[in-house]
Amino acid sequence: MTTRNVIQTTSLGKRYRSFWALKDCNITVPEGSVTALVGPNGAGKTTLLKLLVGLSTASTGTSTVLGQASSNTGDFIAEIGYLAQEIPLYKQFSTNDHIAMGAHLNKTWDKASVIKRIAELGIPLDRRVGKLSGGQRAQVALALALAKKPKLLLLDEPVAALDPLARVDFLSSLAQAVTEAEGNLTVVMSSHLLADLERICDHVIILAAGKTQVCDSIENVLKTHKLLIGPKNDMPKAAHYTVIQATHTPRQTTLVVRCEDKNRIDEPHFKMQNINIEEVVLAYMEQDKASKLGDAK
Amino acid sequence: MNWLMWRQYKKQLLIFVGILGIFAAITIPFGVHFWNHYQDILAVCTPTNSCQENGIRDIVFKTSIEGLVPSFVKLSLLALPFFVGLFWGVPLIAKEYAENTHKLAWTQGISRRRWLTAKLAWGLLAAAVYAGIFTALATWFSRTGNVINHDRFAELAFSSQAIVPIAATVFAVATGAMFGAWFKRLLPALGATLGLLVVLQVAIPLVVRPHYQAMQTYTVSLNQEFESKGRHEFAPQGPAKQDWAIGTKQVDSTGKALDPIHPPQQCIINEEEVEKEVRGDKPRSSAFSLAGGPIIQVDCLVSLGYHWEVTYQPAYRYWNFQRIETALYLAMTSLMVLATYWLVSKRDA
Repeated sequence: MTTRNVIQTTSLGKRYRSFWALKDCNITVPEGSVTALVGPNGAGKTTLLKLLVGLSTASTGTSTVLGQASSNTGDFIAEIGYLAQEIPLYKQFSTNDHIAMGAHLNKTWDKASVIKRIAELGIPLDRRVGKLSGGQRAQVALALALAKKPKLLLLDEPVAALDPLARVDFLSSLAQAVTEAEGNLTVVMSSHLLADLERICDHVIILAAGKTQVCDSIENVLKTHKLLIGPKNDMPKAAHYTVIQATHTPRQTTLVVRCEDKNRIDEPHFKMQNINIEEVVLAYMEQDKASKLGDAK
Repeated sequence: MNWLMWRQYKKQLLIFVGILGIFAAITIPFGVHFWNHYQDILAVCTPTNSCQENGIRDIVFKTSIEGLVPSFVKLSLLALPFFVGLFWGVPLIAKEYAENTHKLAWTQGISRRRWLTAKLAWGLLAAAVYAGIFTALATWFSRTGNVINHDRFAELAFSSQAIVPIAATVFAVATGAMFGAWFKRLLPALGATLGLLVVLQVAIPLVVRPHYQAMQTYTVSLNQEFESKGRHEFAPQGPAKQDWAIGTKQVDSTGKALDPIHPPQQCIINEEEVEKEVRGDKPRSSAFSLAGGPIIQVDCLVSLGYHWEVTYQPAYRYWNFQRIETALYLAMTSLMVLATYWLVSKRDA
């Protein structure tokens, strides 16, 4: 099965004065996928999403979304739903006002669906959103982003500020929307914690140490990343694979490795184990921390 | 976008209209009252040919609370660009940035350019209409004062009547919007807007306006009595009372200004002689001293060729000046609008 890429970036970079917020980012996101965009704080997740949606202009490289170069024109934005980190809404407006606003500003606008979603959640449509709870505001913002029937939904840390219960509610609303769209909705959602997203994501992009470390389906990531556990201080040969992270305890050495073909790993003293996706992400985040300490020296 | 503008700003608009209502409630009754009062006085003094301007002025704008109303109207019109620029122009864009709602608006189905066009078009149009009504009321109110005081060309009155206040207000809104887009936060944008408006409100009448057309000069003998207009009583005005006198100085025949500290020696009279004149031992002569300098005899200065030189703009240029200053403000408004477009569409959200 061939699927077209909804997002494709090549050497995408963003520099603020002398500081690179994002560098040499190459990602592809296939149609219909739900992708988790993870990485430590400051890895450039927000920057990447803003570049994709046309809120920022790239310093280097290109970004193509739904077949068009990212820009701030009405045509480009028409089929993209975006929810910024701050969950911006007009505080003085009610949900109804926001729905009316969307109807005036979008060519496609599914008013009925957004009213249904909000009503199902028991959120009063005529209350000023400034008086709603954080979880309710996030739900309203999500419903609004979905009302334009987007082909792509970009969510920037949507659950970061929510309590655990609201997180679960938000993610189940999102999962429901993905199901309803029957493969026509692609989602990219950033977080600095994968645990929240693991249940509904099938792809992952890991930004760390100033570049794109991983951009693949979770299935493939788990195939190409393994744990090697061996006696302490026994240095492996590191042939045909790369060590992402090495942990030494008095008893043993644990390695997180990346290998294109696990059958080619030849480490007789080491035991190979499967790894879960959270451990992979943590390993890359540790590497990022280590590289930053190295920079500091 | 039109709907959004209406929804976003209807409350603010209501407050502004309320303020306009208060202004109208003051200017309309007082405007009628002053004019009628003036006409009544004319009806009495004209048949006997006893109309005296100074007297009429004192009666019409008597020094009670009523006398403050014309100043209040003038000051209101001077404050109008500040008020509208700061509370209407600045939030127009800065508030969106400050509350991140620009990210919501810019990721709907319309371009940033269209969003900004609607913002600026409605913002500036509303400011023009609002200032237009304000200015019309003030201009109509000021007719009595204009007739009695002949001062509509003077610095403050010029800035508070006719069409200049409208253009100044539109410019203030564009300035507020531009600084809002620049700083993306309310307070710095308010500060910068206030700063620029203060500088221009002072610099334009005092430095720029006198030069829209070449000034004319008018000479008056130092001995000539000139009718006072209530202001500058010691110095003459232009040839007509309605002219805008810009500078008045005493110069000799070569055009050199009199130095009041070191005047020509022969024209200084000493205390003794002054005392003699006071006692009546000597005929009185007219004399003056300025800035702590010696007492100077006027007849002596006249004999040396000294005279008053008044630089002024003649009254018939009033509308020309109104048009020039309006065009100046509108040109600056265009620059602000262009800068705002650049800031909003070229910079990152």
